[in-house]
Amino acid sequence: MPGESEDVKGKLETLRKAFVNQLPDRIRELEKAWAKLDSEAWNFEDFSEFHRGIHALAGSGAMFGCDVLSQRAKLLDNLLKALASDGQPPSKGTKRLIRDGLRSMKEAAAP
Amino acid sequence: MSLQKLEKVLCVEDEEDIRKVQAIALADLGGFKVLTCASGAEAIQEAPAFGPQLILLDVMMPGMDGPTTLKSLRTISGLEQTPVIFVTAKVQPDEIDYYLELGALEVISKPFDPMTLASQLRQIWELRHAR
Repeated sequence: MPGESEDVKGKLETLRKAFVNQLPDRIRELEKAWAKLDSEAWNFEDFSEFHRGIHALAGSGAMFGCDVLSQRAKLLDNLLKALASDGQPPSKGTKRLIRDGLRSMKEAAAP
Repeated sequence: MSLQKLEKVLCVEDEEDIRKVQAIALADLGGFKVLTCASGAEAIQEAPAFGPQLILLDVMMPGMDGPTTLKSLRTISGLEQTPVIFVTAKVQPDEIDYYLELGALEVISKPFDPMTLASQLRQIWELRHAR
């Protein structure tokens, strides 16, 4: 039904706007989580939570048409996936790549 | 034999935003009765009472992932044959084959189009019964 379809589009647009508005906060939380991971003894549980947050942004970003953010989150997600399967704390080089990835996500999410 | 109408869909997805999109797409637009669960464990607990005809199951979830959840669902009375559709961002052909070998009826890639998701499910449902 056309009316129902418009109603659904309206609801989806509301969700999309909420997602976009929350992006700066969500990325700030991820930056905080990374700063904690980076400054303390490596904690695999906290790392999994951090990874999950990045993965979620990759998926939701694509869902809501934030393609650049989603692609950058996906790149970082892939790096974190490899790190998770290594089962080892990251090297300095990998840490730098993670920081760069977060920075590029932040840039993509900037209003 | 007449085709049983698809009415009840269980969605298992850890990402809240995507759960909301699925619920809107399937309940509001598709007219299905929808139950959403945030994890495989929750799905295993809630699915028997809900009695879904079709399950939309995210592949990558923390804790119990999609394939593990599928194995557990198959051990629950009444859900042994319930068709499962995996939802995943990974859509390499070999990965799709792997999911189908695990017993999935179909694989839907993320991001999906919320405006056509319900009709996509109906089509899969009808094709399954036509086989």
